[in-house]
Amino acid sequence: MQVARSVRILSVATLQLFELFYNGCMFIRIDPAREAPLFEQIAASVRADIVAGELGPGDRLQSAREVAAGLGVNLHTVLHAYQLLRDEGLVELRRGRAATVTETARHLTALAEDIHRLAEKARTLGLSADALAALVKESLLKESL
Amino acid sequence: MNKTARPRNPALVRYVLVGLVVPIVVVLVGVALLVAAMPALPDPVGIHWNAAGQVDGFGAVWLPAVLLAAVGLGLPILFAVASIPAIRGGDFGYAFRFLGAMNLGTSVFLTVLITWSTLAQRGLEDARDAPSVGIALLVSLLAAAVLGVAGWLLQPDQPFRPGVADAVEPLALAGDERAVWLQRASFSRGPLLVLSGAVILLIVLTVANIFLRAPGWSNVVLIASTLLVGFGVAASAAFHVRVDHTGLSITSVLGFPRLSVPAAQITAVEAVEVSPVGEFGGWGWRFVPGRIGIVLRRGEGMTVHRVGRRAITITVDDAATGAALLETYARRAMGSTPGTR
Repeated sequence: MQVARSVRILSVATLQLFELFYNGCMFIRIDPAREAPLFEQIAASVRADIVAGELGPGDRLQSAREVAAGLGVNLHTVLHAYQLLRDEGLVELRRGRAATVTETARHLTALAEDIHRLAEKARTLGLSADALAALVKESLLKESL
Repeated sequence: MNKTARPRNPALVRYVLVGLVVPIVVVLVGVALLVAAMPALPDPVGIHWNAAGQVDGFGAVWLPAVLLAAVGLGLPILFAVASIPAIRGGDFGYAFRFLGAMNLGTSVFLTVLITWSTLAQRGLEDARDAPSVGIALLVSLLAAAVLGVAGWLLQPDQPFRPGVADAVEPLALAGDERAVWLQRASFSRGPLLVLSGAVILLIVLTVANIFLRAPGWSNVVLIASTLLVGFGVAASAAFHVRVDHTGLSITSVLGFPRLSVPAAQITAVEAVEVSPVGEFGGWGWRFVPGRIGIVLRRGEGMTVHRVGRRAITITVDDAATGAALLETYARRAMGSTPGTR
């Protein structure tokens, strides 16, 4: 019946409207004692969430204000982190709307397994995290030349 | 033996029998009787009686049969669809037993009432000559009560006994390290769809009622009901859950209502497995003795015990991490971990 179909379409539409208000899950960890600047640590946490699959393409990040209040840091520190993620193409920042995870982030999840395997190998070889990161960065930059 | 293990099959079989199969059979018998009697009924047939026992509402000859079929079959099926997957998933308890019995009682009530009051008009020329509905009402209530009790007794006694909850180990946070855990908790897609469908149906009904120029007060009632149900659904359908150094905060996606527990007020945090119907008697905002539950699905969740107030349980993904972090901040606030404040 026409009514049943329209009700169903409207319900799905309401659902999607609903999901617009729905922020994604995040677990962010920072340590002021570590060398890396706070905004980088925050960005690293979000990246880890994406890789772990907690945040997927289309998910909205929690508002910077919420995160800043939760961590007890300056709002601009969080905004800086979000901007870094935007520059990396993982997050889309639009005026007046929450930061959204991009489609590119999907590729990060695909790399998750490889990253773990690489990390495991580096660990057994006794390679430090910074050294590994530098090697990976070099290799990436070399490929793009 | 783990008391929260899956119930034996007999419980599910009896539940389906009492709450779905028998009601459907009863309703179908009633519908058959009504359809068979259609040629002998006055047209239009009486479908509503006033307080004096006289017919004041009329409908087409096929209306009682359609009504009984729609509501009489619809209700048990709706409840079955909602509850059988839950039972299969391992949820159980008195609430299910009651639901099965209630389904049976409701179907019996509707069938006897509609069938009796309609068949009493057989052979009449005018529906206004129909006898009062009083006897039909009495008999249907009695039958419903008797069969409802029978339905209860027919089902096995399997009260829900909660398993032991695990206290969590606090998350290791080095001296100055800080973390925030943000999660969302919501009904799963299926129930959400059903709920929004119900709200939309209500909206459609309200609009239709206004267009059909129904009396003003009925419009007011419908609008108020729609707003109430709409708000109720929106306020309990999805939440943002946050654990940070201030404690736990649960906010409905709507913005209100919100529940917050300051870290200093937390005495214990547990990671738990929640059985919605067994522990809380249902889904959504639940209030049971000594506990407030925000129960959106079966499965993992966390329970927070507070100073002087009821404990709060919320079903949420990654509850172990959130609980561990909350435990850390709770201990910090209590000052029981040296060197962190």
